[in-house]
Amino acid sequence: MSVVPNSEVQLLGQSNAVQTILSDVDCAARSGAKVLITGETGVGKEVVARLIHLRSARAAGRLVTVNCAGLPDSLLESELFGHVRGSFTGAYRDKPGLLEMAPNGTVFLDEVGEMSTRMQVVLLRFLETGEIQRVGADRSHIRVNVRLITATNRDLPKEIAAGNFREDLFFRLNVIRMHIPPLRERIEDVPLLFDHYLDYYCQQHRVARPQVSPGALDALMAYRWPGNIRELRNVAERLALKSSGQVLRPGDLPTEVVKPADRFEAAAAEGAAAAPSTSSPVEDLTGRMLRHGESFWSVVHPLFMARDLTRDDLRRIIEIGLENTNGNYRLLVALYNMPNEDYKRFLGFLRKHNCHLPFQRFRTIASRAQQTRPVAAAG
Amino acid sequence: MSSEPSAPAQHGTIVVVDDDVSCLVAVEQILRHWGLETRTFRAFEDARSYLAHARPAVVIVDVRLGNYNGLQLIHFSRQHSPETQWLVVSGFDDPVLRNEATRLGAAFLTKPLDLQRLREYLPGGHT
Repeated sequence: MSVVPNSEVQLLGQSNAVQTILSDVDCAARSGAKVLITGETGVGKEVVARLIHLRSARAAGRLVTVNCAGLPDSLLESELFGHVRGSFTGAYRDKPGLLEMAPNGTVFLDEVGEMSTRMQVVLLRFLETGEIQRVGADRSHIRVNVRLITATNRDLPKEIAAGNFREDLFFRLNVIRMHIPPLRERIEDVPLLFDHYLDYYCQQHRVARPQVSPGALDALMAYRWPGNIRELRNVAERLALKSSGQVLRPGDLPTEVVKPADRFEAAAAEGAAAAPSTSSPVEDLTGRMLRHGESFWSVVHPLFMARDLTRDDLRRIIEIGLENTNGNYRLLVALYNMPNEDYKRFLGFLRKHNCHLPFQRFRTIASRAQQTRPVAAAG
Repeated sequence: MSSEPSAPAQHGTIVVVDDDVSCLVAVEQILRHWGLETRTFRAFEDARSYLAHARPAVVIVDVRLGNYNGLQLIHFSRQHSPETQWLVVSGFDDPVLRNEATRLGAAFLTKPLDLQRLREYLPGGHT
């Protein structure tokens, strides 16, 4: 659950898309109906949820955020609905759920498309009755008055067609739908956003604010920003730390921004001396662990927990590692610079987030993979 | 299927929004037969931009509109056209959506439409 100061909650941009979203936010805030926010990862779905809460009649109540991805079913149910003492190993006392902890407030369920079908049924029942039944309790406990805002980067109608998401739940959650377009579809907002984050990070890190050359600005606007605003924010922070006040030129920008097509070649040419910021996040992070001896816990773990890395990114990082260790997780622990005794903790972490890849396939393709993947094999 | 740009509607217009064209045409024909001025929309976005300015007497809207829920349209219209009567139509009777509709001041009808009930909600319906 992340807490952002209210003053920082804003949706920046002058594009028509942002203006439409802002007027929809007001509309949704006034109505009190359930909202489903859709959009790619990093577009700012949580910011929109916060804005709706803060502008609604529930602003005095709490906003509780729950990420439905990465939590096993039973844990998610217990997080949302609470549990009674003795309902499972380790449940030493009664614990209220998050739905109870936001009376007259808002509960934001992020990545709702990742919910298992069983949890979907539990949520469906809650929407119908408004009653909370704690895990292990034989009857419902109380009724709560919360507003539900949900978000997903999945195409739910497609998931419904594939049998992964319940149609009735979709219609109940999707009373007001807000789609946040990707940054590449409102590229005119990039200068404003980049300026804002550069200012913000220069102030935060107490460094001189660099000027941005027109060429660099052109490159920023020509880039497709697959990671959307989250990626732009990260680039701004890295540049704020790197620039020490000089004018930012295209050559200072991360390679993927300037030359997306040749980023592998560029990264290889610059070799070990390259600054960590000159390749895509996955290659950048694996490079730091493989070449610079940094630990998985300090390089990858915090970014993943802050959701700056997706599960696919994490899986890719593990995959690159396993390709190097012939599928051996114990060697991977050493390769990613963790002490041997962290083996269990590391596997536990991967399992919890569903990123524990079966090792077998790396046993057979390892040698081929090492030949075809220079980044993975770089030592 | 009229969907010209959003000129303000005459008071008394009935708007029908449904992405299922056969339902749309059927309802439109009945309303015209009853002598009511009718405008129809298949797409959420077209209906939304029309309703942002228009003040129809009645809007009949299906819950399922592609990726959207027809209930959402009420929010775009309620402030500037509070007198508009909303009829939310659904192929399935979902108590949660029925409550939501009632809370928004809309009537909730299930398909197939009961024409007599429908008539009660339309101008001159009680005569």
